[in-house]
Amino acid sequence: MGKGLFIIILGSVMLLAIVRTNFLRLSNRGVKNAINYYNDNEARNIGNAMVNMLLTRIADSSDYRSTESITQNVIDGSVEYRVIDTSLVAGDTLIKIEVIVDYYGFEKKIISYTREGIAVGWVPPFIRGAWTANGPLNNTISDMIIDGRNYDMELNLLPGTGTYGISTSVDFENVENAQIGGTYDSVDYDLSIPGDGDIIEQNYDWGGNFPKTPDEILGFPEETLKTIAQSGAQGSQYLLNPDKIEDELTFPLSGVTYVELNDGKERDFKMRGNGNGGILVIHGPDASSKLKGLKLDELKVKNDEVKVCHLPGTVDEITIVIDESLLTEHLDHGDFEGDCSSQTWFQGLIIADYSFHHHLDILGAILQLSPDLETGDHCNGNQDHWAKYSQEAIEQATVITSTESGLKGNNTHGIFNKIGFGNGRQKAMHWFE
Amino acid sequence: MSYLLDVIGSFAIGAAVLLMIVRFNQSMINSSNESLIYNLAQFNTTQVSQILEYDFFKIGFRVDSEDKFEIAKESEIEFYSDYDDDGNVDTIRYYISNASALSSTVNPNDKFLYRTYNGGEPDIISPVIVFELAYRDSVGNVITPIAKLNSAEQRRKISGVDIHIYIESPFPIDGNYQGTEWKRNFVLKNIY
Repeated sequence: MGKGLFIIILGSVMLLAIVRTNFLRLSNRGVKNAINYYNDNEARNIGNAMVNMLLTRIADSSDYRSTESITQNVIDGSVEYRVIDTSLVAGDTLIKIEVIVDYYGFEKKIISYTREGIAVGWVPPFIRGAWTANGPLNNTISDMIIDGRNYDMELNLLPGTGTYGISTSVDFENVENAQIGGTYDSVDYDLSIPGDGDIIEQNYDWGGNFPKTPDEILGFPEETLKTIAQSGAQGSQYLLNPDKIEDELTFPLSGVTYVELNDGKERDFKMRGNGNGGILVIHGPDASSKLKGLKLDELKVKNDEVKVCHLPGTVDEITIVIDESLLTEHLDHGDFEGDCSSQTWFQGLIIADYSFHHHLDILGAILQLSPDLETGDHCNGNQDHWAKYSQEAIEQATVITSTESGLKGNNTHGIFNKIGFGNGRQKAMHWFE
Repeated sequence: MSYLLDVIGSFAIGAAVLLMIVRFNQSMINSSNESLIYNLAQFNTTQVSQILEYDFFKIGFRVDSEDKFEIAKESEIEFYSDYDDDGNVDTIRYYISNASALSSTVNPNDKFLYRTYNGGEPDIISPVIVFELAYRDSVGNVITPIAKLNSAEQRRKISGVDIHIYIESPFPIDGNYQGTEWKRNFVLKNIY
């Protein structure tokens, strides 16, 4: 009996040992599954981090390439990468970023494709309102309608996405009874007199960093905008000390229109016709240029005259006024009666040093560089003109500068995929892992 | 007489010890089985997760159209991707069967998780108890109600997918099914 019991006990102990060993082996396998999953994710994380770093390098220098494989230690893994040009789709050259990660024996491959020099428009951060200035605006805005709420290019209101109506670094008092509206903290404020305090920013402290030049507003090296204007790209134009500004420009304005005034003379500027837009710069050294009047000179049509859109759909498209007797002739060669564009406002960004008597409509924004704006004179009877903030119009204006200069300026926003440590500096078109 | 008592006593004590040992062994075997079944469920879950990760990270890859999703439901998804990077857009679909389709197991709640590639014959990925999907927009909010995603226009707003999987053993140990759960939030990098 005792011997039998001893055998049974011994057998049980052995069985226990075997079961225990199996139990531990299973437990180890479970832990190993968890560790493998962790390592796999770590390898992916390292690969993602490396791709982001390479996108940032391309954003810093668009000609950055690494055709030979380079190996680098990243976090606890080893990464082998290449940055090469490739033709992913016929005619579409993309930059291919290929990353292979080795993390404790776990390998992960990530391929991302990006495009060089993606130009997008943006609202420069110095634009803080529909009207921004480093000086007094009490008289300058006269009794215009100043609306910081955001409008698209069809003049549709986009709720909750606007900005201040007015932004100035000094006191503001609505002495001219301008109607002022805007957006603050995603809340739209309708036009009112004198305007809600939330959408009028006064005494804003720029910390000495208010831009001194038009290029600084967009974050470009000096002379960039002038160079674009001088190139004539996309309708850009450059003038230096013209006698009569409007006589020496081609309308409608587009691209970058840069009027440099360094002779100390005051001038007027009467824009002509419809469809004007882009970036309009009126600037002199130390923000000294003076524009006594900035107006839209509508084409005058007498009784026996008609307005005709001449050469529509071409680069020479222009609205002209002709004698009624010539209408048939113009219609025969493809012209049509009426304005080429129904857009009666200036669409984009106006950058001026000193400007006064604004008799025009602005969709976009206006920024004045001079701290010495008008404080004595008054401008009344301007209630039918407006300045409305439009993110879309400003972006459409600034994209030209990116496209032509290849620079991104102070663009920190945009429609980039959220890739890259700069959060939008370079767009990953495709991502394969 | 005393000898008889000794013998009877020995038998009784021996039987009790034997019973204890047998019960203890049985308990150890049950624990071992539980561990084995749990391990298998966990292994299945990691395999399924790897397949899903491999596919879902490619949603929308080289798809020029705005429509990256054909179906976006709570337990079914169909999306487009150039899966094999050959320049042609492929479709991948995941969906689950009814519980009755998997009648060969004791577990009454398990179903097949199917995967089809370009509308071909479905492959069985794994038996699952739960396969749930939720969809997020570009700011990370879950799109609800999910019925909204019947519309192609709403599906274009999808920027992220959350997956929840729960896998159980096909048969119970001591009346309990061993299960493993896996959840993952995918931020879709080919959708912008």
